[in-house]
Amino acid sequence: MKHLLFITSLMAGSAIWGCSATAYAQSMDYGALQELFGEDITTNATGTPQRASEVAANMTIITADEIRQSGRRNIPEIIGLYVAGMDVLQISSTSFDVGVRGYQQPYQPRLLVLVDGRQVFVDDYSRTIWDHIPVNIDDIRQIEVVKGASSALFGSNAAGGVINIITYSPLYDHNNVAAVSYGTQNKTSGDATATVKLGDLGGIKVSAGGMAGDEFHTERNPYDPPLLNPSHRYISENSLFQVDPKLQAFTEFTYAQTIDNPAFPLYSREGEDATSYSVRGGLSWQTPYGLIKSNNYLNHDYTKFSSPNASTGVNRFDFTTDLIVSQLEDQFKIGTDHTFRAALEYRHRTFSDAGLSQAFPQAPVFDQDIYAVSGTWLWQIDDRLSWTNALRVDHEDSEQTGTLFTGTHYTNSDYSHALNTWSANSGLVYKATDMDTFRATYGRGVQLPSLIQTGYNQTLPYGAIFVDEEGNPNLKPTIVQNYELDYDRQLPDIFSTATFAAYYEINKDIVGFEDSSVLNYPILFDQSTNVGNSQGWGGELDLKGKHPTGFRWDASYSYARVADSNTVASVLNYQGSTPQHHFRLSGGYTTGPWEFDANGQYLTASNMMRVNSALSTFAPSSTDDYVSIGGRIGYKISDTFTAALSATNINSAAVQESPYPAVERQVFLTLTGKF
Amino acid sequence: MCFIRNVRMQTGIILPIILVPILWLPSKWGQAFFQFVGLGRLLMSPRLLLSKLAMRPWKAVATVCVFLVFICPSAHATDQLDISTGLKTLLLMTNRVSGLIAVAVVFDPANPESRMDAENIRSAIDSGNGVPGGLKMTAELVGYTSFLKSTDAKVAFLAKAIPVSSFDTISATAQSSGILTISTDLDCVKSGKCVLGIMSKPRVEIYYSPAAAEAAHINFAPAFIMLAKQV
Repeated sequence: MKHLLFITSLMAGSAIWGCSATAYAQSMDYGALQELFGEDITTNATGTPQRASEVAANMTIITADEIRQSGRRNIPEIIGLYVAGMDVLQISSTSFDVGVRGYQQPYQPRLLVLVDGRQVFVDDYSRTIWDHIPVNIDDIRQIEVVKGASSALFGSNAAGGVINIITYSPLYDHNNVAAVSYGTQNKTSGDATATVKLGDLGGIKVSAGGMAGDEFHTERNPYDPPLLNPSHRYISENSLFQVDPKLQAFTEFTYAQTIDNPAFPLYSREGEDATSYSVRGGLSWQTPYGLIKSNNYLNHDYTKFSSPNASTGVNRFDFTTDLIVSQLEDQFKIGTDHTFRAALEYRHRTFSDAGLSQAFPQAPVFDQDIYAVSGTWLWQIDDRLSWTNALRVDHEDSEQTGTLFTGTHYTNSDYSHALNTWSANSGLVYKATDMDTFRATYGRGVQLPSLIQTGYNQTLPYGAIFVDEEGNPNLKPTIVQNYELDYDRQLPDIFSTATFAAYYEINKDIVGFEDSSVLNYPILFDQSTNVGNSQGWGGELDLKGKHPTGFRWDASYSYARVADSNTVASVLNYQGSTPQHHFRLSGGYTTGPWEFDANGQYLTASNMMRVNSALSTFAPSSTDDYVSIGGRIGYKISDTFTAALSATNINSAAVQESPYPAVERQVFLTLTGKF
Repeated sequence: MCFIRNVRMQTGIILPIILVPILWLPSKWGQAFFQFVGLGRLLMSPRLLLSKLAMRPWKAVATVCVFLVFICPSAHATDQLDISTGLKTLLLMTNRVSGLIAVAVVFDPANPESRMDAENIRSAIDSGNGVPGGLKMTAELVGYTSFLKSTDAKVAFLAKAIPVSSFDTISATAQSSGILTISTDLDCVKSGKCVLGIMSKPRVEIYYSPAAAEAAHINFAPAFIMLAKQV
């Protein structure tokens, strides 16, 4: 009831102001702005439009050209290829997790992922199902990657970083594209996007696609369940209407269904069948009081872990997660040098186990209401110096309804509690010369425990085994503090840009599952707790350039160290899961209708945890250094059609990148038409 | 200009390293820094530095020159990049002009330099160079003295070397006729007489006068306004 009142008041507030709106990225004409200013434009650092060279954050923007030239058809691999400091953990043919500066783990909870400002991060385990994102890879205008705590702008889960995937606008762009692809692992895929312009009134864009293939056949852990053949399908609709010169309205609908084989936070693999839909709408109104935006959406996610554990016969977890978000913000300038963004946000999250609810109608349902107030202030002190500050305060109310199972350690009232958190960002950007930019940034991020970690409750016998899965209502959020110094240097003589970054990060009260191996069969007891603290430090060097003759290059090195100080036995081992050295090198050449690109990377050893028995016990499993080489040859058949042959892991039939099955070589042919 | 830019490139790293400790570090840290880099004899307070410079006029002159290198000139000849930058802003108007857009290239008839600049602008527009895709434009030279009569134009592009005293006249006509005024002379926009000031080198900067835009009933996309430097 409380949240209904809050939504009503937000809407009423919108009406009083004349209207409302969002961080709906497509309402900005990226193409015209980037053409005018000669560089990438983003809203990902402060919520307001900024030139990429001026943001007070460590941001990398991957362009549509780079996405095409990468030859990859999935987002994590593209990020791993172009962004120093991002490490990709490939669990299976289509399942990935992306770590920021180490801190790698299955179901990565520290990296928030958005598409055009809508969260596609799933709150059940706090994770991203990358292959489940309902977006056509050929419809992506740019991928914006921010490393470091960004909770002050985006809320919890942006504790380690944030990725915003920006697609082409139905109003400003005319993206009509279709692609079909076939390759090894019998992988067949097709994607298409069609945009219909409604004169000056607006535009509607529809994207749809699907993929089916085989799972890798490389050797797997005997304690993993049988794997499913991966597939996905999706459809999405976006519309943007110019109601009058100062008012825009937008809608969005998406549906996706995915089968894949991810790894649990407890280091086992499960077959997963995920179904999601979302509904979204909002407005953007230019008023005398500034640009007022509202962004409202509902995400519904249903995940069925359909593969029973072969050893135990336990078939558990059919999760339903609903997220309602309503955001209202105002962007305005005071004087010539001060840009502000003031925002209100309401979130309602509901989590239940649909499988349990069928058998036990009174099974627990966990709800959270989150109310947030935030603001950013950008002060352009002079032509060369700017100072950005952001602050966000969240109030969270949690509630558990239904009947808890016999034998549980907690009561409903234990789960009903309130929590207040705050996050902040501050950054100085100094353009010492037209060639040199220095950044000094500080971020304080908040990572709320996942809904499962804090609110799940299942205590039931499964045959001979008694499974006790309990969310811990006493969990404290993880606080991440990030200190960073960056330096960008333009090198026009070699048509390049060099970037340097050094950071130090403190993680306090990390949340992880307790090591259940200390408990005895026949009871399986999984509970999360605050396991301790961790520190990370390191840096990145990157040299990226493009010569007018058609050559392009990107070389980077990243160094990451993590030191965990766990106070209780936990399954988390960030220190071991972080490869210390990571070299990347990519180069390409365009001549006439041909595009040639090659890329390679070298990572040093890591020591990630892995399940080593049927009873969910774990041990570190070492992975040696490895090299991975890929490439693409593209040929433009006509103004409309392009054919491309792409390959990954050219150097080996299978590369052991982690304790999970070795990643097989993949080769595929793609035919793309732009109409 | 080239010399200035080159000097800036070469000194880009060195100057901040030297100047930042002087200006910002506490004296003890600053002393340690200079001792560390072997420049201990440069240790002095800003006041002492000034007095030393006063005793050595050539050093003072050299110091001033170094800083002058970092001062951007506000006006320069209009080149192709300026023209295309100025015209691209039309795509970001919310009350976008359409059809064949007449551009008045305003110049000072008494100044040959201004006329030559205007002819370059006209020729670039008429040839289609720098005109954004989807727009059609035709340019006409208009002396600032006769600009009052020119009401067909939707855009006025000011050539260089127009007297500051003429800005009022140009502005009055533009505002009454809803004409977008674009100039590379930043003084025009800073005085609120032109809507947009264009600087395309060393990187694109757009200066925007909300007062001039409002008076001419010209609206731009909010994102553009956020990215432009408002004056």
